[in-house]
Formats: sequence, C-alpha cells, structure tokens
Amino acid sequence: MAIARGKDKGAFAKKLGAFHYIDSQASDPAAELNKLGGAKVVIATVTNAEAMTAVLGGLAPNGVFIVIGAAGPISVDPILLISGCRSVKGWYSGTSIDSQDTLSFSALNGVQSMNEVFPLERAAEAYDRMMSGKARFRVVLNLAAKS
Amino acid sequence: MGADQGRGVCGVYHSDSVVKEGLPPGVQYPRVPGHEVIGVVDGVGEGVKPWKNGQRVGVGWHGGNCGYCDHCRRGEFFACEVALLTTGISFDGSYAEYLVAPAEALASVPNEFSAVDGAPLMCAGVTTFNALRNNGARSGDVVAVLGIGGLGHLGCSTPQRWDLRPWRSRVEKTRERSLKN
Repeated sequence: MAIARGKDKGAFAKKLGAFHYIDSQASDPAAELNKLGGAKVVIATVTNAEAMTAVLGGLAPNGVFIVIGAAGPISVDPILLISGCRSVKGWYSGTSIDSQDTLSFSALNGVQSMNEVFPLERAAEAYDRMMSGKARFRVVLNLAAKS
Repeated sequence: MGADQGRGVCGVYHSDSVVKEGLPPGVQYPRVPGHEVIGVVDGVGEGVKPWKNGQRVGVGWHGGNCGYCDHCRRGEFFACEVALLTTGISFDGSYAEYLVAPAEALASVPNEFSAVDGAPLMCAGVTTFNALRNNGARSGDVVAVLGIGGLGHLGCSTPQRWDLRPWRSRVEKTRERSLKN
C-alpha cells in the first residue's frame, strides 16, 4: 500500500524502495502506521521535533524510535513507552569496520546515494549548498572534477 | 592517505558545520573539516601492518578511541573517555588533497564502488545502516524512515534489501516541491 499526496512523489518513493508512503501533512502518520500493525523500527532522519513527535504513536509494541536527525526537544508520552515497552534512542555513526560493512552490503545490494559533485576548489560553494538543505541529496567534493 | 591520481573524494556533511561554528569543546584551529572520504593509501606509518600503499580506503566520523578505558573494554567505543577521535574535528579532515588518519580509522573499499558513490556511505550510509541492523528489526517487520533527505533517501532503499517493509513520511513542504520539479 502506498500513501502519497502527489503522484510524482509517490513514484519517487517507490523508485527509492518504499512499499508504503504516507504524507504526514495529509494524514496522521501514527494512525497510518498502526493500520500496518505499527513500526518495529522508526529511523527518524528529520531535523524537525514536531515531525518526530507526530510519529511516536505509530510504534509497535517493543518498537524502537531511533533518532539520527538533530532536532530540538521531542515530546514523549510516558504511558506510550511503558504500556508497550517502547523506546526512544539515538544512534552514533559507527567504527571503520561498520563503514566497511556498509560498503560491502551496499555494493552487493546496489544501494547508493544520489550526489551533487563539486571540485575541491569550490568547497565553500559545496558547503553552502549542503547547508541550504536543497541538495539532492549528498554533496561531495571530487578532486578529479574540474571547475 | 592521499588523493593522488584524481581518485579522492570527500563528502560534505551537515555535521562539518560544528567545526566551522566552533561548537566542539576544545577544538583547535586551524582545522580542516570533512569526515566522509575515499582515497588511496599514499604512505604508511611505522608499525602499521594491515594497510599498504595503493590500497583504496575510506575514513568516516569515528577516527579512533583508546581501547583501554571502561567504555572501550565494553565495546562502547563511541563513549571513549580518554582518546575519542573524530575525523575533521580532532585531526584534520578531508576537504583537502591529503589526509593523515589513524590506521584504525580506515575501511577497505570494494572495487565495485567509485569514490563518488562510496564517500557518502562512510558516514551518512553507515549511520542509517547501523541504526537499522543493530536495533532488532527482522525480516517482515514494518520499518519506517522519517524524512527523505541526505540520510533518509539512503535509509529508504536499505530496508528493502533486508526484506523489511520500509515506510516514509514527508513533512517539509520545500522538499515536496523539489520532488515535483
């Protein structure tokens, strides 16, 4: 089941690999998740605390809400956590062998990012592009690229 | 580690901004940011055994730890209290042609990956991959990735490879517009 507000957005969601898509502005993301039985794991990458809070109610029993986006304070209902043994936690990047495992997994399974490439001498421009939040989706400096 | 022969690539990550803004306690300047790097070994320090010149390697956020404090001996390397090293903060990072990194910070890079495709996986990729593989999701479980950005778009494709059921939510109007363009 795909839930999307825009036709193009839904197609993009499928292209990236999602089976379902929920537009949280058009529907309650927690309620929509619960229709699927709740999420065992939520990986929260946004930098918006309200957006995170809106999804907490969609955690399955024993579900884990993993915060990897740096947002402001999140509001959590203790009863939600207690009654379903749910948890909210952060995650730190990883060591070099974790990165190596990521590369191996990604090579075997064709997972890769969408990148905007800049030459090193345009590093300041590349940094500004990254900070703007408009890049799709990673910005990289390529020493072999020409300006 | 050098980026000779035009093979070096560095990812530009939002957390690079903490160096620019002076946020980490005790950071010393001048400091070169950058912690998503793929390059080629150009020189090996004395006593370093695993790596050889010419090998393709990568470096991410975690640059090293002491190995003997209580946290390190429990495997909690990210919580090292003695010598936690962060690439581009504790030592110069990869907005540069050459980078000197601790041997333990290096990852081997498969030939299947170009440097451009591999660099963003050294931190953005491993963060989403590690968050997923270490937190109990099993095949058939519903996994939700909240947000489609630098981290989220990688997270979206990863659960499917595990036969999990990925789900995403979009909240930012600006991003919605960008997807329609």
